[in-house]
Amino acid sequence: MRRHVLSGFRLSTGYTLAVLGSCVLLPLAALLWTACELGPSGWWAQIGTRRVLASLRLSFGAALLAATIDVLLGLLVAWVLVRYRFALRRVCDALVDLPFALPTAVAGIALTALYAPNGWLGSRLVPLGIEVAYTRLGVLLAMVFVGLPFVVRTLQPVLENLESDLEEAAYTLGASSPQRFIRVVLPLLLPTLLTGYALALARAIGEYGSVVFISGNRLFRTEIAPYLIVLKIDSQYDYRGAAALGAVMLAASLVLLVAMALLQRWTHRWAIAR
Amino acid sequence: MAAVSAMVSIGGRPSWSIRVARVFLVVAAVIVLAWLLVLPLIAIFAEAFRQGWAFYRDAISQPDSIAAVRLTLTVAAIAVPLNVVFGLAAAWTMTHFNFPGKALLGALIDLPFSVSPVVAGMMLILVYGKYGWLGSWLEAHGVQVIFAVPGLVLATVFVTLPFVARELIPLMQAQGSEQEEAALTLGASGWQIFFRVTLPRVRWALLYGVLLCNARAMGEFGAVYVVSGHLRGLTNTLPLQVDQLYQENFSAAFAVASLLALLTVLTLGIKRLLEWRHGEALTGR
Amino acid sequence: MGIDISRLRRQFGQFAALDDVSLTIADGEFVAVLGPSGSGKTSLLRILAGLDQPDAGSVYRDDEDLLALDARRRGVGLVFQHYALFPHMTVAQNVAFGLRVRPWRLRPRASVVKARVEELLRRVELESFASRYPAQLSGGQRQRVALARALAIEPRLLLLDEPFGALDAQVRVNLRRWLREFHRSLGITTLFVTHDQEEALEMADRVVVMNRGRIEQIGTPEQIYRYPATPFASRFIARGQPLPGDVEGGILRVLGHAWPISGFATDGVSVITVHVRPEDIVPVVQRREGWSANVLSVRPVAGTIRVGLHVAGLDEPLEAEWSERDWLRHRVEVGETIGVHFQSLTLFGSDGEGRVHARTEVHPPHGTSPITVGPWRRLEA
Repeated sequence: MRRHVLSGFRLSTGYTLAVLGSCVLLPLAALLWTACELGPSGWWAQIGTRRVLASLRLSFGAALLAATIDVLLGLLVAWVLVRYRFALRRVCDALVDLPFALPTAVAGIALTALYAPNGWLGSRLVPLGIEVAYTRLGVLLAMVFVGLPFVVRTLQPVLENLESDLEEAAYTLGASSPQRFIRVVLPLLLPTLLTGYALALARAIGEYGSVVFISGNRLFRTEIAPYLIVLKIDSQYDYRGAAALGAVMLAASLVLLVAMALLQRWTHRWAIAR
Repeated sequence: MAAVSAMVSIGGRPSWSIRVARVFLVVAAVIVLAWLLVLPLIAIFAEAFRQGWAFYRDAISQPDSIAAVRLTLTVAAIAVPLNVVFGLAAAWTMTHFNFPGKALLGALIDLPFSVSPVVAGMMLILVYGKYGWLGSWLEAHGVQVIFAVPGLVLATVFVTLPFVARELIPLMQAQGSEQEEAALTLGASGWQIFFRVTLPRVRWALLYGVLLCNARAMGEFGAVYVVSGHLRGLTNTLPLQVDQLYQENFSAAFAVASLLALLTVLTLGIKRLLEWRHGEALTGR
Repeated sequence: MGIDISRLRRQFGQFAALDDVSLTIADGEFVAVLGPSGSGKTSLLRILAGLDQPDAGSVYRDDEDLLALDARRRGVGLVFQHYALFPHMTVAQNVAFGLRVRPWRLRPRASVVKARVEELLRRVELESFASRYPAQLSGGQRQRVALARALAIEPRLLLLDEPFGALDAQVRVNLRRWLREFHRSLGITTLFVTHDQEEALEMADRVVVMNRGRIEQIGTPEQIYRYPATPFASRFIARGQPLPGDVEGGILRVLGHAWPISGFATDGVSVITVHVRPEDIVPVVQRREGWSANVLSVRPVAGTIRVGLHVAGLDEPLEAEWSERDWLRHRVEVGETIGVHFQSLTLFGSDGEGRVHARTEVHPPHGTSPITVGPWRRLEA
């Protein structure tokens, strides 16, 4: 192989691989090994129970819905933050990172306190028949909360770069304001929106701390998959069951990771064209 | 909302309908942010102080809480430097060399971001736990990883692994290798190039990464929850302490949680400051 | 002795950046490597600096194998195209860098470093800018800081990558002159790469013309300009324009005119290329003589007049360059039809693969009198 001109290749790559190996690769291999040991039938025996299936349905279903809501809300927030100047813009911009930086357990108990039947919002919503705490709606809300910054922060730089010249070009070609948004801005944003969607989705599927408090973990109804993993490890010492479920979630993460890599390539193609 | 004004004012003065639409969009966005983000933050402090200042002070100064603070600081003090070195090494490798498998390495560095923290903790148990791959070997050597501080550190390193690398890699890519090459032709050694040329140029991005890494390290819940065993006063970090108190003493839980919320607010403040003062140094543009 | 580069080869996948490149540079010489982008000139520079390694070939400096030394110990000063100044260091710190990173045994004392930096900054006329940061300097000043920084390590070979590429036209001209003088006073062996033929011809002792990883010609500026060795060199350096022409059975035919031509040999030659330089296309008084041409454009450019001509039988317009005086004498206008004469043509005889085996210049007389040319210059393949 060609000699590297700058030095430090062995040291830096060695350290990188050592940390990745002991913290990521080895555990990953252990999970795959344990899951493979089960075999398809053993795996299904762990996964195919009503309780596990219900939790997976909730985790994936709510996450898909939450990511969709995040894309809509995130587009609104990112658009407003990039395009308009208003009094609280800087504060709002800084706030977007809150779910990202707030410890998940803290967010979880805060949301629960707000929406519990005796909470600020809960005490007003429950009489209207809207129950958030300890229901699937609560799970959805918590997932929307944690996913929002991913969409906004993915969109913002792209919106900034696509600034006015493209739109101005569309304007000189006679496009109206909504037309400019739908025909010029949105198609250009599509790969970014999808990337944001995938990021929010990945986070929502795996989220634990923000969700377990508000979900209430009611059997068959509001148990999320990560909760079942914790339960199996913590009180049942059922590592195989946990690994079987963990493998499903890991597979979902990997699929999303590949999807994001492909999206990146797609965006890059446009970046060159621009 | 008189303060609302358009930044992009194509074609002079916008029409009345467009101005109404703008005001509507801004109001909608502010409501979303206030409802979704601000309200929970306020709720934490409100609940924390509901039973008065004295109660608050007692809640955060009880021995278990103090132990949790100490443990949280200890774990962060080990995990963050590990990740700083990792981030620097990974960025050096990823930006200055070409080698087969580079794309895969890049994907692996980002992987912990998309793995559920709970799954991460579980994977660590499968390797380092009592019945895990290395469990018996570790036990024979008297090292306890799971349900002990090393496990907490490992879990924290896992979930915060990409933070520093993620800030540095795009920046160093944007900066290119030219300055390092210039230093090389002037006779500098590898370490001299690193400390005198590379490090000073990425220092703000590094600090930014450290800030985010630290916030996550101190606040991590899921992964740490799985590997800690929740031994009160022994393996309870602050978030775990919040969880345990929440089952027993609602207001005390919020008192401890408010410490973490304070850390968050502080982190976001410094982050803003860095972006404002050193925005160019963070992106290399 | 100088630098002896022999048979360098550098491949990037399918693309040959350097294809069998050999070159000898004498001590103290000022050499320009001239070529379009992608011609391999930057690859050559990076290999000499030690930032890249060739797939084959050797580089010796006074019997010392340069390729065996890594970039750190090579003692080669490199000035990057965009200077690569360290933005977090002052001008003085930038210049001192190469001295301060020496192993401590060889590291000069602080006072010595300081004196050396001061002397270098005085030489590049920046002594009052020592405590500024690169961002506070103009392009031309940064260029000179980069030069001083490279010179601080007392290199035995100085390399400059497109030294004026990032500068304004006016600064460029001044700096060119300055650098030429600077080199003369320093006497250090210098190699610079450029894509600007004017720059290369004006500054260098010797010019190396590169194209597609190969050296097309090496010579003094005058040799290269007057006697381009290949159609590429002619087009790239002398702005030679191709004309349809042929030599067959002792007759040279160019655009319908034919002259008996004697005294050449065309062994192994299958393709004849005829080039004419802009300044060799001259107006004739008698329109009958020469070629009839339609004037497409007249543009005065820096003391000369560039005239676009459409010559009957040619698809592409030709560009002629006349002195102000010539133009005043004839006063051609756009749209007018005039007579032109090619007072000098360059003929290349190459084989099927584009290798030039013979070349010569001919001076076609008015009318059809025969041309007697000397023997075709045989070129070593």
